[in-house]
Amino acid sequence: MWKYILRRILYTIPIALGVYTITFLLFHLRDPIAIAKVNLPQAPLPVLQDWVRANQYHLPLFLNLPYHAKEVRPDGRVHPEFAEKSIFYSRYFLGLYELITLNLGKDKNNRDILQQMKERALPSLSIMLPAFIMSLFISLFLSLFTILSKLWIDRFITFFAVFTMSIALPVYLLLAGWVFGELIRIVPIFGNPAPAIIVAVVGGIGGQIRFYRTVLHDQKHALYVVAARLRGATPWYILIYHILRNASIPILTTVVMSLPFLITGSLLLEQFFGIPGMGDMMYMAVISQDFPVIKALVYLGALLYMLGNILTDISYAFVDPRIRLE
Amino acid sequence: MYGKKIKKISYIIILIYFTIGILDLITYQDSLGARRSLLDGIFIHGFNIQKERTYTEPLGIYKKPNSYFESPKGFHLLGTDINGNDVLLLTLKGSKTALLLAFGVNLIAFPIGILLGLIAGYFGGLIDDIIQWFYTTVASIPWLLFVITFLMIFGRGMFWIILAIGLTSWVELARLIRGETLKIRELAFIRSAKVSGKSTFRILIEEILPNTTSIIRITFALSASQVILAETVLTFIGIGIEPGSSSWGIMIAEAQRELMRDPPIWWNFFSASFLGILPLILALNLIAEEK
Repeated sequence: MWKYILRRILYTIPIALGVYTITFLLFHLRDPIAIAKVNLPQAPLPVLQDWVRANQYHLPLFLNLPYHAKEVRPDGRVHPEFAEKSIFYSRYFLGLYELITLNLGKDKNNRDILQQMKERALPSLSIMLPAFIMSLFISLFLSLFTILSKLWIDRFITFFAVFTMSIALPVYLLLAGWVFGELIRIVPIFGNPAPAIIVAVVGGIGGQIRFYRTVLHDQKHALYVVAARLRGATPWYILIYHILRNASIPILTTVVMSLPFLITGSLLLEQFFGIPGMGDMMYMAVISQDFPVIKALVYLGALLYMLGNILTDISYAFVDPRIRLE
Repeated sequence: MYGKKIKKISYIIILIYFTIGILDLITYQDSLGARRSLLDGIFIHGFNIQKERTYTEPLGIYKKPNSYFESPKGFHLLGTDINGNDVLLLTLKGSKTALLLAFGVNLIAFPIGILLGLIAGYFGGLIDDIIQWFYTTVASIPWLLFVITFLMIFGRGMFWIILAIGLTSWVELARLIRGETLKIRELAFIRSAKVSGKSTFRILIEEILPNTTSIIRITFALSASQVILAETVLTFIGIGIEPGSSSWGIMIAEAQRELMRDPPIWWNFFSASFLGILPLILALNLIAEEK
């Protein structure tokens, strides 16, 4: 078992390196001055060059070769001090080193990004966790219900699921703003988790219902279900003890996979309802074009995805003993 | 799951959107020298739609007593927006943006996804490992953040949105095609094609690819709907399609302010989200239902 987990963790190292490299290329392939121009549209050249230096875009890209110390770098200066540094004094390796040592740097307002993330994880979690649990139970119940129900009820629920999936998230937000701000004025909308949780549940439930329904219906005509029915098991007993257990691997995948993302929150939800979570941090970074914050959030998202992958595989091994032996 | 009837209706709806989008793509020079699309032409000459000064109410023919809105010069089924443009026309014009997004993104994503999926599934071994590593890596990068960063580095606008989403959305297709190819390559007709001396490339294109059409159709429909929804999200944050062009995302983003006015301007929001996006995405999602 431990061997299996260790192998799984080792397997993510090349993926982590790949993520870092792709993200690095995204941030660094373009000419630094051009990137500065996108973010400071009408600034004169010296301001752009200051931006380049402030964001360390004047350092060598991959390797610090001798000629870099002699030429004019993108910030318009010659940097003779490069000659004294090691060959790894470059944007690629410095960034990698900072990432490994969890030194995510400071944001525009000179606050520590890692500290910010720690502070903002809880508000995000306070919305995403209730929404996650509620939508899991509702969608599991409804999709189990479709197996027992008549055809038209099944069709109605599936159509409802597809319908809710077909509405864009901004539309849900504006509708929620209208419903909770105009029709039902019990709670304030801004800064209140309740409307945000409801929107998250309604917006996310459709896809889950449709997926669980497909997975469960695949088991419906299996021989063990027929056998159980012949033995006289009640429908709900068959559903929970036979069908749900045999369909548990795909369901487990989606559930475990979404666990790490509960702390990253949702950008639009948090921005709209004024919740100071991770999604709001992302929105503020986009608005103020805060590159270090965005970079840190990309890495965090990738890290959580890989964590989710490992967790999923470990949970497989717990549920299905065949996997442990492989 | 659903009968053939619903699928047929979905295809007809998509065809209607497609036709409207094409009508808006074809432009001509009118008598005053301005470039207009065929759709504008139909509305201006066919229905005599005129530009108003600013907002007018839906179905507003004359000024109602105590109404805040002026009486319009012409008839507008869904009213007009802040610049006095007919909202019905704007909603229809949104399908051009949706059409460009859906086809543009899939034009980039499909060749990558199909090619990598076929190669990984057919050859297996080290090549498979490398391709799997590559798509797991791309899948690990948070999608929305990648697109946002891409737009911040390279610039705003339609072209970059298509490129950013296209470069990230091939993963699911590659995964599915790989799985299907793994199954198909063991079948007898592949062995017979190999024995008859067909080149590997021709086996991939002529024997395996035609057997994955249902996957391709479903993925196309799903990714088209995802792209159109993503555009509204990106525009809502303020880094999507630039104001001035017509898209449902812009109409919804502007509705954020319009709905707060007194009286609220609800028709812009209503027609973009429920007459523009909803039927199209619903039809695309229903097509993607497997059974």
